[in-house]
Amino acid sequence: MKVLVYLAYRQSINTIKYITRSPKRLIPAILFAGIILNAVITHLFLLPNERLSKTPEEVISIPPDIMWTAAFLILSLLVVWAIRSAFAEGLLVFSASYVDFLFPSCVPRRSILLMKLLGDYAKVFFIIGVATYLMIPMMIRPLVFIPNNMLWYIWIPVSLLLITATNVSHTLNLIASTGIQRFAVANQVVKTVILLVLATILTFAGYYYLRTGDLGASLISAMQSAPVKIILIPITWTTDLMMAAVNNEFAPWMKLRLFWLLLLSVGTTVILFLRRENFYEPSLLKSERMARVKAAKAAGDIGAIRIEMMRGKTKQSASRSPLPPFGRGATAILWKMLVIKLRVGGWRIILPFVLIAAASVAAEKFIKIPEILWYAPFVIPYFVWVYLNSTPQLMRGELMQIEIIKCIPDKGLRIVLMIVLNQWINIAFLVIGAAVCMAILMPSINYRLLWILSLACITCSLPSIAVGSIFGILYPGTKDKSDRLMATYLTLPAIWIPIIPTLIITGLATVIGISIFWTAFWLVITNIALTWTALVIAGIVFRNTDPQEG
Amino acid sequence: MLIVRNLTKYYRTVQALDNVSFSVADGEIVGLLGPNGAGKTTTLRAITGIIKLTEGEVEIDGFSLAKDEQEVKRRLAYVPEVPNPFEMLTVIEHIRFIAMAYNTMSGFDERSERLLHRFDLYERRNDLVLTLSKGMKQKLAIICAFIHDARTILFDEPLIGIDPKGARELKDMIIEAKENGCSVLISTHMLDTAERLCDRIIILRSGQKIAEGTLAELQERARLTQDATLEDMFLTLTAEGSASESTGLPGL
Repeated sequence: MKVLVYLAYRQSINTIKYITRSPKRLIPAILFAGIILNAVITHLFLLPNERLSKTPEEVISIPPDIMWTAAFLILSLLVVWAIRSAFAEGLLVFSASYVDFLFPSCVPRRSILLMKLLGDYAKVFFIIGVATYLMIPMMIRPLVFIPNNMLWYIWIPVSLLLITATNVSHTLNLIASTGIQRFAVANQVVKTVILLVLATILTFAGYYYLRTGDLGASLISAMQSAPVKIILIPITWTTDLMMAAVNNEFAPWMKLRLFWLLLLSVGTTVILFLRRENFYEPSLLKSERMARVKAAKAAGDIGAIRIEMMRGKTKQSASRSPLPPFGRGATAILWKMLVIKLRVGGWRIILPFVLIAAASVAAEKFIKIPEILWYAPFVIPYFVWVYLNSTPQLMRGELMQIEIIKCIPDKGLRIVLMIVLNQWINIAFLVIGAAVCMAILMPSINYRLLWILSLACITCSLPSIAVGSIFGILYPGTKDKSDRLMATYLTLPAIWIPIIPTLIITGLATVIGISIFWTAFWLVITNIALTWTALVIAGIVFRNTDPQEG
Repeated sequence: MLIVRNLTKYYRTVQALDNVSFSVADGEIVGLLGPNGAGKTTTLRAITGIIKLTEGEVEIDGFSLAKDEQEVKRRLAYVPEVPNPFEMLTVIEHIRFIAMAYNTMSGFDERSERLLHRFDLYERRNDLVLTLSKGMKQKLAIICAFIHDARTILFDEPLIGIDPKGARELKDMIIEAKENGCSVLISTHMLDTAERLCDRIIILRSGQKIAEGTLAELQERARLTQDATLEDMFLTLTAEGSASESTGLPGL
């Protein structure tokens, strides 16, 4: 154990030294710390006593049982996610260094296990803590006011619930860890249990539906039925505690529920730690795969991440290309990217539209204030802006294959253009889909605003991606996290350069009432000019870049 | 002494090792050869206890891996094919960490200094592993293998990526380990190195041991003349293995 503590201690100290010795690493770290600190100070010290002029009931009209069911559903999904990740990457994933140097060593397996568990638990508490104290207040403050002392009843129960779920999965993991065969069986068992719970809920929902004929109410009744609540009792307790915190109603039973959740998590931890199985082999297979995923994530290569996630999960034949070959020279890059996107996309291509449709229906049904619905189209530029900030990472992902890309006998400008175009097709596809979903499912929306904003987003995203890509090329080091942060931080302000002209044109179009045709004309002309300028710069930077330097 | 009995390993329905048995005596160097996918790395990983055997037994100095795992590992050093050292440790910290893990801290400074000098890493001892080249990381892994008093040393392609001086140094150290009574098992594709370094050769193919013996024994078995190289023998024996497999005849 001492040796593992030494390892953790030295690695932490060296990481701090490593960051502080280089301005390139120090600046992003300070910026990141500043953002976190700002959020902490704002939400924990400056805002707690603020109350809104409007009560939650005046803004939204969600009945308490729907709120409870929604929270219950979210927690259930979180638990399913925790179980699945416990199998996919949790306990059994170690770094390649552990596999090479600690697995063959005489350090006891249980010491390695204990260190891993402690790290994982700390991570759960930290992530849920950040979500509870920073993100939840930020997101729902306009709707619901939760005092800080009540947030404790969200943070601790949710953390304990996830630890319990993870422990149960890990225990199954360890029992099955005598070889890959049994491990696959255990994975199947977990999937079956999750499906059985789902089937129970659906059976009850079917029963209520036959009696009432209302599908929505039947699903809510099914989830609130006693058998489902009992089967998922830790989730029920956590939901009760969360809702009490949201409603700012303290009751003595809360402490008892918290105690039971604590007991469950401690009990499952003890059971887990008492297991003596050799988990190295399944861990080895998972660790190698996760190391590849981690490398792809560090580079921001979403295509590579998806390919790694898919590896071994599908027996899809890859013999037929989903897209006929087109173009020559640098165009081959665009073809390659689109083929990968179509091959690994699957349900991920449809999912955003399903979510947008669901959100549109929910907004139309529950939001009372018409102004909010009227301005709903602004959601599109917001998400496009968020996406645009990731453009340098996507460029960095492509630069991982620099040996291939840079050798293509074509102009640097055209090579960058093809990578930019691939990202632009993504955005355009998403914007058009979102606009159509909102137009159909939100009758109260401002249609003119929706079309102008969609058009602005599609045209303006092209030069913005080109600008973001410049920073992706300038900071290409895939091994160095600071390169990723620098690229992101510089992109944040820089993408406003091409956004501002678009803002002016769309502002004038909305205020003065210029026709959609002329708005489109000026947007296209301006943004093509901006794209060309950005691509010329990006092309020059591309020809002079060396990703290995990072 | 390393004894391996009836190693059998299945990955789902794929058989990676099929009843492989061999031994490496004290003061002996044995080469493990075979084409890609023959089961060499699986064999080494099975000996280290990283992968679990479907059947079979591993014994080092009378200790069984199944029963006395800690004792076996205490006597074992393993250099993986592409080592991934802890990048956020310095070179010296990494070596110290390994010495601590094997509880062999006495005389650490003198031993580590000697090894660092031999592999030209002394000047880099306070640098983060992160900053080392691939070959330097390989050297570090080798130093880590020699820092504790291992009685059995397993190498998986140890010479790949190392500069000529480092390679010479490693070969010398392997011979020194042999002279000190260590059992050394080397998996390699470098047939000329195996020919010069190893006392005996084991050839694997598709998870089966198809040949074992000294150079002379293998020459005889492959029905080749005395001036035939190990490469000639390897190609003849592995080709015979494929031919017998395709005709359904038992291998060598």
